Amino acid sequence: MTAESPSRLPLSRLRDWLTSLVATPITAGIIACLLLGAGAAFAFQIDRISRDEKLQQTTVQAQVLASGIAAPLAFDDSATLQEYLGALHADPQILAVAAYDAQGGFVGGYAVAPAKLPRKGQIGEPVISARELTVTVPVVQGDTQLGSVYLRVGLDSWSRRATRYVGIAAIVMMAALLIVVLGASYASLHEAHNQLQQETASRMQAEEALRQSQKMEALGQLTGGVAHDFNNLLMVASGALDLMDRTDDPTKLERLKAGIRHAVDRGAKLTQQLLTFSRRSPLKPEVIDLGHRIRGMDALLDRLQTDGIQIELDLPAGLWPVEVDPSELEVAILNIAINARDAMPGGGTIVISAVNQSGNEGADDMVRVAISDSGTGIAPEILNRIFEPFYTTKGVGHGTGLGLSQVYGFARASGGDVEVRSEVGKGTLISLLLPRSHGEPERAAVMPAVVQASARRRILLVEDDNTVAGMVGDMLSAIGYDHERAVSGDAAMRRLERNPDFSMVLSDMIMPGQLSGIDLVRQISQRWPTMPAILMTGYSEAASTARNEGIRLVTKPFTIQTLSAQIDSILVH
Amino acid sequence: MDDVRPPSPARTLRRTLTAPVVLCCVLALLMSQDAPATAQQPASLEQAVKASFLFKFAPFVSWPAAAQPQGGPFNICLRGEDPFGATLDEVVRGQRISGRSVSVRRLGDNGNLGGCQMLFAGRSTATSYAPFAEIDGQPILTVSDQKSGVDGAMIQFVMQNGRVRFQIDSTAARANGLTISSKLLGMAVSVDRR
Repeated sequence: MTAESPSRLPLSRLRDWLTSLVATPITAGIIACLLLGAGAAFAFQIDRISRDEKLQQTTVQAQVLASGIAAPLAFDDSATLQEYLGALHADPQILAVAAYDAQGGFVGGYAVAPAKLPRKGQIGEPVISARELTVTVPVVQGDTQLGSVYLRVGLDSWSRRATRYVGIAAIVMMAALLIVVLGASYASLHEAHNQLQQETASRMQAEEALRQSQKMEALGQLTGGVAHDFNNLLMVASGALDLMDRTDDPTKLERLKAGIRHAVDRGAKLTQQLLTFSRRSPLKPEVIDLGHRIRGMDALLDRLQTDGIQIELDLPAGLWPVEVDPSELEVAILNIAINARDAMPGGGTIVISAVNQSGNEGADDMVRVAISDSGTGIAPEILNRIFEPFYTTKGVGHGTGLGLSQVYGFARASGGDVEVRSEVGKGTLISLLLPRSHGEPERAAVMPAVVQASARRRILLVEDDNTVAGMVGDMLSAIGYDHERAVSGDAAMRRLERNPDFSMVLSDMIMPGQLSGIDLVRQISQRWPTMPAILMTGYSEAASTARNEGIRLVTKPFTIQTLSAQIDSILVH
Repeated sequence: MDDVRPPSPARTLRRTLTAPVVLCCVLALLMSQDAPATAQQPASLEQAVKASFLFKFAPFVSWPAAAQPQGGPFNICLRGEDPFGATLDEVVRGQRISGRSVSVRRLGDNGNLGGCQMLFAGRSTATSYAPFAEIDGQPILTVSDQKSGVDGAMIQFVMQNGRVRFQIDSTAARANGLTISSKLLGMAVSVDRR
C-alpha cells in the first residue's frame, strides 16, 4: 500500500479528500446553514423589491387619481370628485385619500379609522413606515398645479408577509434537513463501508489461514505414519547397502540395487505429495481424472492402513473428468478417510469408490466419490453438526473440528455437494458430488527415456551444495554435456561477465550471496537474452513466483530422464 | 401638521360650495337688478368663482404653437364691462400658464385683440357691441356669461341649481384651432348646444 501511494493520481487523492470532506455531518450542517441563509436573504430581497413595487404602484395610483380629478377639482365639481375618491373605497388597502386645492385647502376625501387626514395639502416625499405608505402627488393640468392628492395605503404586517414565505421556508427547511440527514447517513455509510472492507480483508486472511491449518491438521494426522514409513525406507536402503558390501553375486547386487531404487522412489513420491499438499496456494481448479488422482494418493492413504485398517479403491475406468483444485480434493478425501479410520478403533475396511451419476430432469451430470466405513456411525442428533467448523467428537489434542468443514467448503466451492448416510453401529457413507467437466484432463507426462545430447554443449551449473553439484554434474556428463560449476549466483555472474561461452545455465534456487537463483535468471535474461536458464528447486514460495514469471523449473528431486528432457527441449527446440 | 377627521360628503358639499354659491347668487341678483355693475364694482362670490374658472380653463385648452409668442405673457383680455374687478387679478397673480406669466388686459368695448389668448366679453350698453366679430378664425378662446346676454362665445357660464357651470361650443373652438381637453368637456353642462 505504501509503495502504491506516491504513484496515485493527484486527482484521485483530491476526490478522496472531497469524499472525506463531504462525508462528515459537520459539512452537511454547514451546507444546510448556507441554504437557510440563502433562503432568508432571498426572502428579504423579495420583500424589499415588493415594497419598492408597492411604492411605485401607489404613486401611479395617486397620479391616475390626480389626473382624473383635475377637472372636478378645478371647477368645484365636488360630486364628481367624491365619485372618484369614493371609488377607492373598494380597495381595502387604502387607508386614507384626499384631494386639496391649489392653496392646500381640503376639498374632499375619506380616511378609514384610525387613520387621519392632514389639514392642509402639501407635496412631499413618500413616507414608508412599518405598516403604512403615504404618497402625495400634485394635480397638474398643462403645467398649472391645480391641487394635490394625498394617498395612504396599508402595507402587509410582518407576520402577514412572513406567512407568505412560510411555503418557501418550509421547502428550504426540508431541503436543509434532507441534506443534513443524507450527509449524516452518507458519512455513516462511508464509515461502515470502510469497516466492512477491513473486515472482509481480515476475514479473507483468516479464511486463508484456516485452509492452511486444515491441511496442516490432516498432515499432522499423518506425520507419525510418514516418519515410520521413512524409517522403513531408510531401513531398506541401508540394509541393502550393507548386503551389497557382502556379496559379489551380480544377480543379487542387481536385486539389492532395485530394492534401493524402489525405496528411494517411494520416499521421493511421499515427500513430493507432502510438499504439494502443504503448499500455500490459492484455490486453483484444474480438470482432472479422478481415478488417476485418487490412485496417486496411495502413499498418503497407505499411512492410514494400520491397526487392522484396510483401504480398498473402487475406481472404474471411464469416470468423467471434474474441475476442482486437486490439492483440496486430496485434503478432503484424506479428511474423510481419517475420520473413517478413527471411527473404526477395532479395524475395518474403508472403501473409496467413484461412479458417474447422470443428471436427469435438469440436474447436472455429477461424479459421486463415496467413502464408506464399517465403524461406529454418527448419532442422528449430531449428524447435522458434523460440518460445523470446530465441531469435534474427538478428545483434546486429537482433532480440531476442521476436517469435515473443509470437506463441505471444498464441495460447495467446487459447485458440488456432500451427502452423509450413517447408521449407528453399522458405519458411515460420505459422498462427494462433483460436477462433471467437459474439459480434457491434463495427462501426466509419461516418463521419457534419457535424451542423449545431440552435440557437445557447455552448461554453467550453479549450485552451492557440493554433493548435489557433483551428482548433477555426473548426470550432465552421463547425458553428454560439458559443464562448469559456479558456487553461487554472484560467482556465476562474474564468470559470465568474463566470458559468456555457455549454451545455457542450470541453477539452484536458494544459494548464499547477493543473488538468488531467481535473481540470477532475471539478470541473465536481461544481459544475454539468447541464453536459456533452468532453475532447480524443491518446494518454496519462490518457485511459484518463478513459474508465474515464465521461468523454466525442474523440481527436485528429479531424475536424469527429466533433466535430459528439459535440457533437450530448450537447446534443441 | 394637524390632522382633521374628514367631514361627511353631504356636509362638505353644503359647507364648501352650496352655501357660498347660493349666497353669492342672491347677492349677484340683487346687485345686478339694483345697481348696474361697473368696472370697479366689488366682485361678488359668484364672480370670484367665475374669475377662478376663467383662469383654470387655460390649462385644459391647447393653443396652436403659432399662437404662443415666445417670452410674452399669457394674456387674458376683457371686453365690455369687467364683472370681476380685482378678483381676477388676484386669481392670476403669480400663476403661470405653459411657463408664461399671466396678465389681464381690459380692452373696453373695442380694444385691439392682438396678443390675446383668451377673451372674456362682459355686457355692454353699446348698440354696435360685437365683441367676437373680428376674431375670425384666430386662436382665441372666447368666454362669456349667459346672464350678460352676450352670445357666440366658445365657453359660456351658466347657472345651474345655484352653482356656476358652463357650456362649451367645441366646434367653434376647433374651427379656431383650439383643442379643448375632454376633461373640461366632461365638466360642461352641455357641449355644442346653440
